Amino acid sequence: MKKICLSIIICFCSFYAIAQQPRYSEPLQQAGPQGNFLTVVSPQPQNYSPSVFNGTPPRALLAAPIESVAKPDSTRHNTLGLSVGVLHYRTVDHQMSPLTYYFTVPKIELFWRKQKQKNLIDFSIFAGVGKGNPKNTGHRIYGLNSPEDIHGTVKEDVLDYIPAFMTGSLKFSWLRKMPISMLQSGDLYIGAQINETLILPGILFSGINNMLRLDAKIEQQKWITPKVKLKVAGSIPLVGFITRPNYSGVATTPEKESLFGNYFKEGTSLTSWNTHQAIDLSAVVEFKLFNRWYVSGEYDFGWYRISNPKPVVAYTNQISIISTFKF
Amino acid sequence: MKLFKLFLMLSLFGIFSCDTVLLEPDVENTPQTNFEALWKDFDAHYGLFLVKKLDWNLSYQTYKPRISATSTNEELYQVFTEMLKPLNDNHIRLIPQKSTGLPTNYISGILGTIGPINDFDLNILSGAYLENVVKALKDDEIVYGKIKGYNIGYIHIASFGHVISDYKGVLDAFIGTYKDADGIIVDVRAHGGGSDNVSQYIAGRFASKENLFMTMQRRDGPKHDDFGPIIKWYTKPIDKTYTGKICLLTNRFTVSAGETFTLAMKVNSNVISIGDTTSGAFSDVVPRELPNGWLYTMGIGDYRDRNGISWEGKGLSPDSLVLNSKLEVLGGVDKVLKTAIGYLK
Repeated sequence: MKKICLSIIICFCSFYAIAQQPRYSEPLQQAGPQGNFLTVVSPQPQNYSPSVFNGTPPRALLAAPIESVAKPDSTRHNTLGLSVGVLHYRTVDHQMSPLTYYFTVPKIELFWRKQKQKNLIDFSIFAGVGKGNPKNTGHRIYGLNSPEDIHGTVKEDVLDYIPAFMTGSLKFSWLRKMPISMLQSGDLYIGAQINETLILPGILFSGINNMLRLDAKIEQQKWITPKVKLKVAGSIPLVGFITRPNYSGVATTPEKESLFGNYFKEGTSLTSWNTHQAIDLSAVVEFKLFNRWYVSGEYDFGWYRISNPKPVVAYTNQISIISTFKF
Repeated sequence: MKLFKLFLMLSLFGIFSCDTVLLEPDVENTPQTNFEALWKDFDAHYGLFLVKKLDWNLSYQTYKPRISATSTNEELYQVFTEMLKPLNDNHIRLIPQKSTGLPTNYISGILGTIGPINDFDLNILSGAYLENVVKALKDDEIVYGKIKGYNIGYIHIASFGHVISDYKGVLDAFIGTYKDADGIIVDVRAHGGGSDNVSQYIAGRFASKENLFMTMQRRDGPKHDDFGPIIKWYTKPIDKTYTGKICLLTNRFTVSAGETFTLAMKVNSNVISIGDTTSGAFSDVVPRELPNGWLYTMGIGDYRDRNGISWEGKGLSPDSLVLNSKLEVLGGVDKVLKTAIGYLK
């Protein structure tokens, strides 16, 4: 547990250090006092940001042509993105197995972001599907012979056991921009996220972990060069409905056709940090390609633990490439 | 550049953080840890210690000293099977990986010792006794037809491996065809099990009134008597029903949900059962695995009939005990079926 706490502290320190770096200016289009936007011909490494333009903008900027409201990279814009990448998931789920399982699977994510002058709204849908194995024993084959029939024939069934992993999530977040005076660098957003994540590790053909949570989320954005932007985000759960297999591992279903409803009914509990701990961290480096098109590289790290009915611990590493269109 | 370095640090931290930090130390794969894992998991989850009246702590004391760091797979398998044998449970299975060369599928109960199915063969029966044969569902899970020369319907159900909606149409067709028959033979010999919901539903197609047929509880805590609430299972008439005379045929290979189906059918007053005693394994089963990768299964529930009696390890006796011999079956004679025909005609 101490090691886990240390890991989390290190992650937060990294995040905080990034947030405290001296900032460059938001280089391209900035909001003017009337809601119009100005184009900066060359970026200036001075400490200004859209949010400090509450009065008259610097005279040097007025030389630039006035652009339309819908211009990308303004403080108000929409972003549509498609992310593809690789997800590496490792878990020990004592409700199912003492073994450590790992899964390296392709993932895809679609997201929409609405950036307003003082807040961010995000919506994303994510899916990953693949196969995995226990770390130590690897791929396994079992013989499952049926009873010999009356003719002496034994039907040899071979079980080629490769757990099929599936995960998906829906996330909706609303983040509020913090007053710039609170930090010396970049734009800091803090808010909440509704996070619905479903994980089917496929270990021994059973078990669903579902997390419907309210998370606290923080995001720091920063221009590194005129065409390169860094976004670092983190979230932790506040409260949520967590679904796990019940103690016996089998849901009750008299007079019901499907186990699914009872599985959720019997295995869901309202939890907070006492029984469910998690952290998600991500870092995105975004490059402007041309016009309204951008390409990004993303690294995402996630870790969670659920105590009941027996502990499950898992972490993920994701590396993705993202194509975005801003409008 | 500092930003990139920090970003890189963060990424590398996540990528190369070892499982020991983020998960927990891996469980060791030694003979002792495998023994401990098996014994403890049964201790925490097996649902029939009270029914079997077995001192599980004594088993630990008896078998633990036989395991050492140098125990071979063969020795481990031997100790495991000896330890599990007194539980006499057809739902307890031990399945080593094929690469070990050990027996592939150990069964703790009677099915592990009685050998092949010598008293029943559907193909022989079908050829000798049936006409208008219909095969339905995947792997011919249901086969039905008319008994030659008699106004009697016959249906064999090999397992309950589908969802209820899959059975509805098949049973509609079967009951529709034989609604005016003198009787129906429902054959669940060599029934491999499946979903209790399906057994409840199909029994409802032959029920004339609502009846309690079974109660069940599942383990919900570490003590042997930690159980969740008692759940009552009822049959009741559902969809199109047949409520005439019915013969239910069972044998030692009628297992699990085949037995809960037998419980459900036997509460109907129009049903008599003929054949052999059932397997004696009713509970829901969960699969597990050991640090060495071997699989095992165990029952986690305590199932009882409507009078509160557990038939685990014993099986349900038929109303009329009739046994086929191998030679008779190979010769095309099914005494169990003939007894049923004699009763229904």
